Amino acid sequence: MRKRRGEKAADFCRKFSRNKAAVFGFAVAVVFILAALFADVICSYDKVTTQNIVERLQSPSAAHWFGTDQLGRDIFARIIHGARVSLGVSFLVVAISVLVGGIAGSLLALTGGRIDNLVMRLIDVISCIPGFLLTLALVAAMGSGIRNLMLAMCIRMSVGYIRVIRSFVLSVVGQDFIDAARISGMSTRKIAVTHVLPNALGIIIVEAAMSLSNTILSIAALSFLGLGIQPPAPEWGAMLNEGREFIRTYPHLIIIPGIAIALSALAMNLMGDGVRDALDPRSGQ
Amino acid sequence: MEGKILLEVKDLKKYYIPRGRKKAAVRAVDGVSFQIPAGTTYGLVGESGCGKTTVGKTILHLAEATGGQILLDGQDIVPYRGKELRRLWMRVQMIFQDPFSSMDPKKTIYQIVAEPLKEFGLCPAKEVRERVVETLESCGMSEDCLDRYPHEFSGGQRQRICIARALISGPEFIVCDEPVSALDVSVQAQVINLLKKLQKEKRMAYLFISHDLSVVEHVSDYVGVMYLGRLVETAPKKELFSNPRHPYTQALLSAVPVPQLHRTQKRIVLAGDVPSADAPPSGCPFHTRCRECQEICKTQVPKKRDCGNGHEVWCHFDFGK
Repeated sequence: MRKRRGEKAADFCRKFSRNKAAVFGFAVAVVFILAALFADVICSYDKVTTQNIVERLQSPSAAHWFGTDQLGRDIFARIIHGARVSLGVSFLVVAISVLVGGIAGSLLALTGGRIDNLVMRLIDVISCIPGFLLTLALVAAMGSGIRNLMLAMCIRMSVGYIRVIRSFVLSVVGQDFIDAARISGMSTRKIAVTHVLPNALGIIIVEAAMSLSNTILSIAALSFLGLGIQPPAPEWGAMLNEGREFIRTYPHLIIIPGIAIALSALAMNLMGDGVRDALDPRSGQ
Repeated sequence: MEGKILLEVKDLKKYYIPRGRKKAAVRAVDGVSFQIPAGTTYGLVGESGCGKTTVGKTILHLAEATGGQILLDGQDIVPYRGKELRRLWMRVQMIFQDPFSSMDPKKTIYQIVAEPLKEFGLCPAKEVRERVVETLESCGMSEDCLDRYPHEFSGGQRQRICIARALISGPEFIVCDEPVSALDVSVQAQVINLLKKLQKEKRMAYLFISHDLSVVEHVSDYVGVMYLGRLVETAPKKELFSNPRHPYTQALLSAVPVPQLHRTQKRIVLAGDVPSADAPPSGCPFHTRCRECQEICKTQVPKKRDCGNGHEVWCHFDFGK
């Protein structure tokens, strides 16, 4: 019988679950995402900002699972609420950039001609500037703050997506099966949806998952430099910066947000790999 | 063998013109004419880049013709648009050269083969599966391949699946664009025999594009030889292979391996490369590599000369026997 949609999904799950690293990444990502979603349920936001000098710089204990920082704030609460900012901003940035890049990239590839040429040259120019420098410059020009940080990140990432997706769509369109679909009487729009999109989807998802980890790192880095989220709002990169002075005496101030950043980035990468392999019908049966 | 002419190509031209530079046009096909009677095979041979695939693609509107006419049953199909094209594609199909890129890797064999049937709405939804199985079986594939993906098959199997896809809408004419050149020699024979068998059963006509003369000799009724976007010689198969009149055809034929211990025929080696199609030589396009080249060849384009029996040659001289 012909494969139904449910069967395809089952196929995907079977392949994905066989990849241990991907499952690990997925589990970690789920923990982080749940923590971010239910941050208020787990611990109230008061704990994040309430300073308690008496309890400052405590090591992890039953009362404060991850200890307290130099102002006596509970690090566990700050990590949990920080996930909201770090992950939320990253997801949003990637989602917007993929959408912009996907639409613009495929349109450019399908129309071609002068507009395509013009836009691509503009993108060449933007790509000449190292990504991090570009974001820094944009944030510096627009003023620091979370909205400007996101805007700057979106600009930087969309440019990359447009390039990747455009060239991929071009390579799909050049193949014979597109011609074969055309002489089977398919309209251009239907070809785009039934042949080009499924073939491009894998690479879009993988690109998105891979750049998710990159985005998490970039946002942490920018916040570390004080360009992103402003205190006292909790953010992992900003927490690293604040704990910098205590690296020798109270290393948990650095280690815990560091682990959060590294673990979430790693999880996204592993998951992206797993998704790509499971989406490809050529990978092991 | 002479039947009703199914497809006639008249003075077909396809130029690729770079934006705003008309003079730099690449003349991929430059005035090609031939006729294909129903139920026969016309073999089109030539070196890579001589425009034979472009001829096939213009017939299917996968490339827009720059000039000339393509008559299907006496009706010019070049101006066809929209719905007319759909009707054209029901009657004319194509088998692609590379069986690895002509099937969507994300689709099952069922989805691939059923696509024309569904898009053209040729049979009720209930019968689609039955028709797909039937067609696949006529191409030597069994039912259990339906839910598998293209990458699970060998080149020969894939090409048979592609043939099934081309056949399923019941076309009268199929453009076979080097259907066997990507396959092993042993598999080539299977695919060619399949094509011949199907032609007999369904009385289809083929335009068989190839650079392999021994394959063309095996399948064709008529043969046209192309060089640099033009036909240089066209004739019924027997006539062309026994009495080639154009120096280019003679050179090509002399390169065909013959299973014979002491060859009597001398190999004619062509020197140099094919000239670029965006700056074709003046006069006869072949004169830069022709061993019989004379002064007239460098200045005047040779006209078609009819040698009888449907044998036509574009050369100033006659090198026939």
